[in-house]
Amino acid sequence: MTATVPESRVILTGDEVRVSRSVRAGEWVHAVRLHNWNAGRPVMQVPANSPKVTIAGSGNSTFPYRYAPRHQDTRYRYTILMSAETTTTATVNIESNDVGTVDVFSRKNMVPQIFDVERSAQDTTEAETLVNITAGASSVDVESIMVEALPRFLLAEDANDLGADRMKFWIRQAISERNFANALLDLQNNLRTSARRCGCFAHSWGTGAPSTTTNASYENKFLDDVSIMGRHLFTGDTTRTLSWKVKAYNSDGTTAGNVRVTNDAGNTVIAVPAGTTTATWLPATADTFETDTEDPTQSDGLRGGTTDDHTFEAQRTAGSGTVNIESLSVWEAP
Amino acid sequence: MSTSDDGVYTRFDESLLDDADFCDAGMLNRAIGNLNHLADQVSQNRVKWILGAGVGAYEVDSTLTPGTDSYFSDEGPINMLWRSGPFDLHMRQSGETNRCRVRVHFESEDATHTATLRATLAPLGFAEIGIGDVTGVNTVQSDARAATTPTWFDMANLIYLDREWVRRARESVSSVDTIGGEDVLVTWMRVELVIASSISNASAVAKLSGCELTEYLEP
Repeated sequence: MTATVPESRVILTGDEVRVSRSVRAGEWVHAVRLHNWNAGRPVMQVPANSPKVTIAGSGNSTFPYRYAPRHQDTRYRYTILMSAETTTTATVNIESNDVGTVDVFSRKNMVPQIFDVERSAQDTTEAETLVNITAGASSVDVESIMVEALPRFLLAEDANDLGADRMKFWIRQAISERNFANALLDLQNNLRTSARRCGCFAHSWGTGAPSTTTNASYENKFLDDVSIMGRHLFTGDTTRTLSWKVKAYNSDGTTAGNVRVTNDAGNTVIAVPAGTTTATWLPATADTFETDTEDPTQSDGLRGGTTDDHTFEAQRTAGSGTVNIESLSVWEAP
Repeated sequence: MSTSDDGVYTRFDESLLDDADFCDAGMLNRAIGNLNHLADQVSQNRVKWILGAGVGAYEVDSTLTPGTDSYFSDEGPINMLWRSGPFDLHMRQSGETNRCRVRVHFESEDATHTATLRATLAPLGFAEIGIGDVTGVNTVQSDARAATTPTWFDMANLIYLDREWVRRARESVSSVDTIGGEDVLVTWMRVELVIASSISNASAVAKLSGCELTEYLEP
């Protein structure tokens, strides 16, 4: 089995494979390499984001994120940057596993803290990941959190892992149409789903300091908009569908609220219904919205010369309590 | 610009194909184009954040001396505003990485005096070199901005790692090919985004409140 994943991509020459041209095996070896590169190189599940939350000495906060894994993801790397005015420690738990206590230094001397966590199973089921941080004797500032999959060395040759055996296409091998059909063409639609731009935007305020709203009018939950662009795939593509959820709760049983995203395509709302008094990812089935795709014919990749800016707002729609938002995640679903 | 002939992914019905089917040259040409196009579009959002409402921005240490303690001197990363921590970048056939768009959300807290930001992509321990060389392919500088309200600024140039930087950034790490399986060594890029600042006058304060770094395959 030689479905190995190369480190760098290759650019295939379409002109080498046209009617009336002789077939050259080398071109197909490269095609298989690129196929495996698309499937096996890692992606971001949570882009680097800054909660900029201070956890008081001996205090604790959990940062939840939502993501849609790829089947190829076997191990995730969590990278966390923390600083402290006074050198202290922090204990980090990921997925309820105590992964370590680390020293936390001043901003000038920050050291990225790295934790590799193996997945429990290979699947594409949307999931939550929890990063729990307990400060030592002094307060800790959380400056950056990101989650990315590690690269694969070898892929399994099946419809999920999507590996293709390059030895079947090696120079001087018999040219078999069965190989083309089974190893490349049959897997291509699945590969299109797998080679996603997975994590699009994620921000976690954490359980220690959720974003709160008591305003009956929509108020921006961030300092400004954030740009999100989708993959450009098909002829005439101008928008791509993204999924999103919020983890939120209300302070009492009669308070209710909304969280809204507005972009070039309009707006869509996620309700935080009355009775939601414990932090819950909403809605149960992820909501979706359309976002501009990139324009690959433009030097900056922007459609119409501008980014598609997204405004995330919240309001209280009922009751007199507080709407609390712990986290918000946007991803491209399989 | 897309590296595929058609610049798009072309759908076909895979259920029509089985072992005995004839794969014509046109279909195989389409498959080649699709592989190229998927590789073009797999570019990732590496850094993407804007501070929550009401959260104070990242600021330069107020004890710095403008013109001396700036990234134009040899003082080191004392005016570093924010670091991402190391992440991966896709590597192209040329041995360079994909290009990256950078946006920063900042102000100078002063209507007259300016703040300027630099963004650099560098492996751990190399940020000072990147920040100090604005002509480097991995570094880009914003316009000088005098403003009391932060807004997004699109950096003019795409940044990336050339082969020399890639050589420094490649790292072997342990991965697994199956859950619970034996560890295998794989190579990937470990590079972080570092944002640093300079101010024109002590009245100004460089304040960073958002940052985006997105891979992109440029024309």
